[in-house]
Amino acid sequence: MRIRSLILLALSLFLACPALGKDPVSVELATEHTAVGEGEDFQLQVTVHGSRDAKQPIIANAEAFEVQQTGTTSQVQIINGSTSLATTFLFQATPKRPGTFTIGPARLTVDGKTVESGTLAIQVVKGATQPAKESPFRVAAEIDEKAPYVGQQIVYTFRFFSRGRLTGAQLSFPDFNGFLKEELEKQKEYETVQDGARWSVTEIKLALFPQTAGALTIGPATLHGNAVVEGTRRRRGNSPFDQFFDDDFFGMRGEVKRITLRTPPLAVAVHEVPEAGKPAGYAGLIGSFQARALLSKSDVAVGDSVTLTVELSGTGNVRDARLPDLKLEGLKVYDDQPVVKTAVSDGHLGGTKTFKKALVPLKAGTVTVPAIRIPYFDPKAKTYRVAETPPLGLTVAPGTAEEAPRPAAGGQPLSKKDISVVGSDIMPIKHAGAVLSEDMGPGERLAWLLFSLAVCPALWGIAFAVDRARARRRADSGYERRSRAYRKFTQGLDRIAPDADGFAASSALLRGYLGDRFDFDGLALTPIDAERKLRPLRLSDATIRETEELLKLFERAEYGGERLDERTGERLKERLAALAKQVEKEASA
Amino acid sequence: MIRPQSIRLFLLALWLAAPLARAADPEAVEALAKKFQAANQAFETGSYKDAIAGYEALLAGGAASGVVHYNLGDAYFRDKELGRAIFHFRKAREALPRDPDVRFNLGFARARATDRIEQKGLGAAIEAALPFTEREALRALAAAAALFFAFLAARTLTKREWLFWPELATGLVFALTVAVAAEKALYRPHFGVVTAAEAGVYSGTGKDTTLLFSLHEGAEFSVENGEADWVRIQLADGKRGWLKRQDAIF
Repeated sequence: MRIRSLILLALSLFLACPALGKDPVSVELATEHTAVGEGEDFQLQVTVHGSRDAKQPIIANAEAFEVQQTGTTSQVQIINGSTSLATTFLFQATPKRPGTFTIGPARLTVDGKTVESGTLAIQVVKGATQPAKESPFRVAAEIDEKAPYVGQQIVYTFRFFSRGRLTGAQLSFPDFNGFLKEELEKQKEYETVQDGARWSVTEIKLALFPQTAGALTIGPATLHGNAVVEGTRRRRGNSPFDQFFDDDFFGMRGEVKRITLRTPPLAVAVHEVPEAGKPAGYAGLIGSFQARALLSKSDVAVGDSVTLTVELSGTGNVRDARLPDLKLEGLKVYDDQPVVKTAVSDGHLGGTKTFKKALVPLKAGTVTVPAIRIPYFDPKAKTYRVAETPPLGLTVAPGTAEEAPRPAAGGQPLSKKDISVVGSDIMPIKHAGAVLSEDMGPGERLAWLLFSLAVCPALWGIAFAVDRARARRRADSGYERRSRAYRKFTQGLDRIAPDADGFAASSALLRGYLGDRFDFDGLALTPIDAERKLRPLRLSDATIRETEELLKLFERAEYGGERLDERTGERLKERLAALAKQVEKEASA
Repeated sequence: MIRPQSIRLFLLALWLAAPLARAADPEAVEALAKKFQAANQAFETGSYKDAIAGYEALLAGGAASGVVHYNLGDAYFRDKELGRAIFHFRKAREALPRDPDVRFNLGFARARATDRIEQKGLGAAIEAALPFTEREALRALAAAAALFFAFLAARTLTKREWLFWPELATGLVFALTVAVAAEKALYRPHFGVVTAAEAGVYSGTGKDTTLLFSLHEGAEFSVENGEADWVRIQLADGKRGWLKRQDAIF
């Protein structure tokens, strides 16, 4: 249903578009009321015909009314193929004073031409022209004292009564000229029964303090909002447009009406406080107050600081409270900033104003802080009273300092002043400190860099090499044997002696070395299989031949029972050493 | 297996590090201390030129400590030689980078320089962010390297995985100290300060050179290279040119 409605609307607009704007533009100003009561709202309608994109018209000669636009409606009509478009601007007008006024014309500028409507004659009479309808919304304002004294607190209460649905509410308080205003408490909501009906009430309270004597007026508080009147929406016809606008797509079936509610102005007659009986030192404090005083300590040394705290609490204009000048013999007094904490008590604003003074005794002995008297006017009793603190005693012992230069109240320094710089200079020379240069020489710099970037990494490199060697040993069982072969050979070479076993020992040494070096059973090596075993090890022909020759030599000598003499032994050692070196070289290549 | 090469390298490092352990000759130190006190005495009595001569003699004798440079800067400042004062305060700051007196006096003297030179680049910011001497930076580097490679070696040999975390932490510290030490040891700008009341900076050193701009006493610059009577300088704002050596101190 909704899609069909949208399609029909779009089609209608499409068909209408070529025809729009062809008719001349006209403006019509209309209202249903020609006589209204002062303060009664009525509606003005400005209808613009023949313009597709009409802007808001201006209503001339409406100074006697408060005019506020409340909405816009548009209508498209197709009659016998002829299409017309009208835009209606709705205004709410509220008369400001009684009289007969001509309102209008409404003016609109279209394509550079100004189009005007006719005018309306509106008669505004005092009071209401119609019996008051049973409205579901009301506002009211009241004050709890219509004849206060200057400075006396009065409570302004605004109440909004509702039995319906109001959206987009905007509340404007009056200016409260001639008063100081303070928030009294948060907005309160409750229900009440009036005239046999249950109302939801929203209540806001403000504390007002008149500042001047005379007749003052608190203007109206104004509440604007959109009232939703359930079930009053007019049923339209059966046209597709009516069905479209009645569709649930728009959410509300009730009629929305822009309303403005005003409280009546309130007259206040403000009096000066009476001169009769006004005490000396009265500083405009009005309400009901109590005072108390205390010292941070009762025993103090000369030059030390003690804090005198005076608290004035009660209901009324406690912010305006002032302490009388304290003349304290033997004490130097430093004032701190007073602190005000407000509170609501019995629906009235009050609180506590705390004064702190740092007292510095100038001489030893007993000092008395006298009673502090703060006069105020009690509006209920219509008489002056005094809030008074008891006298306080202070015992001052002799001190080391005549006076503390920086007293503090509440732990905070008092009366700070900017330091006035009267001169500037460089810092003095130094008498202590190393005389020798701290500069690093190139050698020292290089040493640190070598240690950091070479020695330390090298130590780690050693650890790495050790780890790798261990790993190889674990993985290769012959590694240990191979790596020690040459050292074992050279050690054995020194032990060969020129005796009967010299050749046998030399033979065992060579075969043992080759067996260790290449990980085979060296003692089983014979001259015959030397080439077969050594050739795959990639030793050179000369090395293999030298090995064969030596093994043959040993074999002959052993079987021939030859004794190794000293000269032969030396030459043999040389040949064996040379052979082993060559083997090491070729095996490592 | 420890290779002989590694042992030789280690011994070389120890030999090079030997100067660290060498104690200064106590008598020489005593003599320098007396000269230092004498110069201080001259300063306190208002004989600034004598104090300057005393401190300069100490510098020439190898007593180029931060304190001597600082006192010499004070003496030059009192003697109305702003450029030399700034120069020696800067030298003092190199040795005593965190000394508040040095920093104050350098700022105080700089505030009296005529030329306002806009700082470009990060040189000054890095210098302020790393208030360490070169020796401090290199010692920190050595300590960090020793710890890092010790953990590395320990983990390599013991295969204990929990050593990864101290290894990572010390590795990060080591990387940081490498950067700081590199800045201190490698980036050693050669700076100078104008001592003449006004000094011209030229486009070259030949006959037909153009005066590019003039500097006044106290203006600081870095030295790029030099010739017999001229040095090529660069200001912090990037301006470059040739300055007569006699107009500045380096």
